[in-house]
Formats: sequence, structure tokens, C-alpha cells
Amino acid sequence: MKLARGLWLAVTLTILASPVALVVINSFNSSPFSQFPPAGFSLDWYVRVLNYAPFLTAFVYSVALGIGASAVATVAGVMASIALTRYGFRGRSALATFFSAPLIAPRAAIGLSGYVLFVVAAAHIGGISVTADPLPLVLVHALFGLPLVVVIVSASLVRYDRALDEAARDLGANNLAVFRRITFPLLRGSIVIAAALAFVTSFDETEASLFFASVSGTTLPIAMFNFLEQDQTPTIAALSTLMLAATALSLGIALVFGSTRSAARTVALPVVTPPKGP
Amino acid sequence: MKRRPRLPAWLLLSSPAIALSSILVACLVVLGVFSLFAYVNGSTDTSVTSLNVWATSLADPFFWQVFGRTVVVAVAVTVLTVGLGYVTALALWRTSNPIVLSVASVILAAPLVVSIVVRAYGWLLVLGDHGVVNVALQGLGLERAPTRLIYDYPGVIIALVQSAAPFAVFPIWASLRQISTEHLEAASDLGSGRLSTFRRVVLPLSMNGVIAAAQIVFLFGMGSFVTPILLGGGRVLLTAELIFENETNLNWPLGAVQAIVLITVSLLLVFVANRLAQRVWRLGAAR
Repeated sequence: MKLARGLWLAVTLTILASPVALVVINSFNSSPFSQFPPAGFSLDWYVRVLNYAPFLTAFVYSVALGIGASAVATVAGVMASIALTRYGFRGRSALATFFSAPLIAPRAAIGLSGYVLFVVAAAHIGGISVTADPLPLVLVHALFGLPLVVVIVSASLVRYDRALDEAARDLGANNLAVFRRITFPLLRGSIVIAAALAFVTSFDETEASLFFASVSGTTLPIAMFNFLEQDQTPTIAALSTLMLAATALSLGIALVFGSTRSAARTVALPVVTPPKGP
Repeated sequence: MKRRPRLPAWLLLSSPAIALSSILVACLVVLGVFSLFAYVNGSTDTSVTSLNVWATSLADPFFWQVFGRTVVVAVAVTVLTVGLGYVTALALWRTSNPIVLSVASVILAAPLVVSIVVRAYGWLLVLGDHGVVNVALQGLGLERAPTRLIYDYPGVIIALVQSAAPFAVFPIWASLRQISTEHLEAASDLGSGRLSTFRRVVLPLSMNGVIAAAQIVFLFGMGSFVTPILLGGGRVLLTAELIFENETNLNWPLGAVQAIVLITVSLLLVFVANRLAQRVWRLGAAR
């Protein structure tokens, strides 16, 4: 049984990991044909990616979009998590379901209707340019990031020891001071991780973004999508590997910054053990 | 306790998230409204309202062919993902090696943070005519000509199963972890063998995870869009791609009708399947 279990895990995990592994391997392939095993070692494709202007522009744009969307989703999500976990009110679970709906809604439907909504709104409200406006994509990406933030931050709020807040309040801190000096530092780990996930979600979002391409311009995944439809040289592998590295880096930084150790250091109550990170 | 302000604090706190999520509601309203406009060739003129688009698109056999294909692909992806995901979750549940568990979690969760375009390209390298699988098959002398895996249903379904894997394995794994060891010990103390413990204790107790997984994976499959375009080679035209084409063709009313059908029928199928599953499960438990 043990052998069968190990074998099953080895085979399924290898299959699941194979596409990403091969992308990385192929990015160093010296042959212009994507083949396995690679013909030889080369860094030419990386040089080509870094000299291909459309990818660079799209990368900068995607990073800016991701930061904007993550900021919106994180602020809204943290506030909503506090509401959902600390206040008993009628319709609380309905509200939680409402916030998680973007996870299951078909992205093509959101893409089409969001795009139409924006074009119609822009036609009726002055001052919005219909040709180059990142606003709809920031909002739609934030919409997709919101459920992740709510789930992660709520989970750590549920485990949060509220006696800490009470203690601060007894010592004369007002609500804002309690949040700034006690609650936020203790939650910082999960907030940073949630913000990073919201950023990555936006950075990788392709399906709905394609619908906004004519309004909001070309994000990096869209640039790759367009490129991949014509060209399958390892150029795209080099770019993908860089993207994987960027994703791993941003999640890694989030995990380091979000570790409970750093959270503990900022809390002015050395006797208190902080709750475990997610 | 302090006096609450006039607006309850929870509402004040959740108002930004409510405003953001309201985009979804606004989107649904837009779909409903636009589905009632007449399509004026090549323009987005909204002066004429009619039920024409509904009538013609619901009577269009081509649409139903594409829609039926979407349902078939989504069901296939659901059955494969939940089936394979269950076995994987079961294996992980029985594993205590922390290294195996963390490697498995990272690999399973990877699709959530790796761009869909990167993964599609990766599958081209694995399943393509000169990909690893075909090179290996030919190298072993099993095949002369490359087997077509990519640019057809197999490639699309394999890639979708990988994308959906985290939505299946994690909920099922979580539901397995909730089974108390006492239940399992009780079963074996009462003389139940491995297989019958699985069938009569483990499977029923993890059914909630299976149902949750199946619902999410099915909805995910119904909405899939980029993977069929990149890996389908034009042979796997699904509903979401039709909607996309109608955006670029400026036929927004038709796109709206298709999106509404996609959303309502998906949710309806999930609802019916859920009811059916609950009933079958209850009957099975009573036996």
C-alpha cells in the first residue's frame, strides 16, 4: 500500500510539474525549435526577451496594474474581514458568499459585461477616455483578488486573541490606536501574504483582461498570448521563466516580511506570543 | 461598550468591498439589458429593443452544438479532476513525510500563481508533436508517427485538469483530515477491512469535500477560455470563445445572451447535480 501510494504521488506530481519544468529547461535551449532534450545551452532567448520592447512595456504596465489592484483589494478585503469576523449581523454569511462570487463567475461573462459597462459609462460620463484607461482592469483585477484577501485575513482574524485589543483599550488606547499598534502588526503577516496573492492574481490574469485589451491596453499575459499565437521559439520560455522567478520572488518576499517573527518585533508587548502565521 | 454610530460599524467597514463586488451585480444587469437590444450590423447602436437576439440565438443549432461541447468538456474535466484528485488527496492524507507534503502542496497550488499562458506553453512542450511524450514514445519504438495530443481535445482536457487540480485536491484533502481517528479505529475494531472501511466510513465522511470540489471544477470548466484557444488548435471551440468573438464583432447583444445562458445553465446544472448527489448519498448511507 505504501509503495503504491508513493508511486502514485511520484507519477501525478511529476506530470503536474512537467509543463513548468520544461518551460524552464527549454528557455536555455540553443535550438529555435522547442524540443526535448535541448540541443545545447544558450542564453540567447533571454537577451531577445530583454530587447523586445513590447514585452518590457507590457511588464511595466502589468506591475503597475498589479500594485493598484492589490492595493484596492487589500484595503477593501481587510476592512471586510474585520466586519465579517468581529460583528454579528444578519446576512453575514450571505455577504461572505457575495464576496467570494468572483471566484466562480465565468471570466468571459465578466469580461464582456465589464467592458460594455465601461464603454457605456464612459460615453455618459465626461473625462473618461475610452481608448487608454487602466481603471476598468484595476477594478476587475481587484474584484478577483478580493475573495483571496477576505479568506486569508478572516482566517487569521478568527484565530486572533481579542484579549490583546481589550488590554490596549483598558490602557487607554482608542480604536484607531488599537488597530494601528496592536491589531495591524499582529495581522501584518497574513495581510502581506494576501496582498502578494492579489498582486500575483492580477499579474497573471488573462481571461477577463483579453476583453479589455482595446480599452486598457496590453498586459504581459496578453502580450505573451498574442506572441504565442504566432511564434513558439524558446523566447516565450525565457519570458515565462522570468515571470516564474518574479512570482516566486514576490511570494517569497511576502512570506519573509509576513513571518510572525517580524510581526512580533513590532508589537510593543514582549510577553505576548503572536498567533501562528498561516 | 461605546455607543454605536448611526450606520452600523460592520456596514461601514464592508462598504468598500461591497462597492467593489457590486461591479459583479452591475455586470449581470448589463448582460440582462444588452441581451434585449437588437443587433444593428457592425455598430453598438442601442436604439432598438427586441427579443430577436434571444429568439434567434436560442434557435441556433450552432450555438447549442458549441454549448453542448462546453458541457461535455466541463463534465469530462470534472470527472477526471475529482477522480484523480480524490486518489491524490487520499495518498497525501496517508502520508506523514513533511517534505513530500510541502513539495506536493507547492506543485498542486502552482496553477493558482503561474500564468495560464505559461502553463499552456508548457503543455505544448510536453504534449506537442516534438514534445517529451511523443519523443519518448518514438524513442521506445512504440510509435512511428507522433500521436496528436495537442491541438485537440486531449491536450485541452489534460491542461484543464491540471489547472483545476488545486480546486479538487485541497477541499477533498481538508475533508479527509476532518475524519477523526476514532471513527477509523472503531471501524477496524468492529472487524471492518480496509476496503469496507473506505467504502462505509471514509468515502461518506469525505463526500462534502467531493461535492464542493466537483461544483467548483465544473464551473471552472464551463468558463474555460484561454486554454482551449491556445491548446485546442481551432478544434475545441467553447462558449466563452464565442462570447469573446462577439465582443470583437461588436455583437454585444448576442454575446450577452450567450453569457446569460452560460451562467444560468452552469448554475442550474450544479444545483441539480448537487441535489442528485445528496439524494444518492443519503440512500447509500441508509443502506
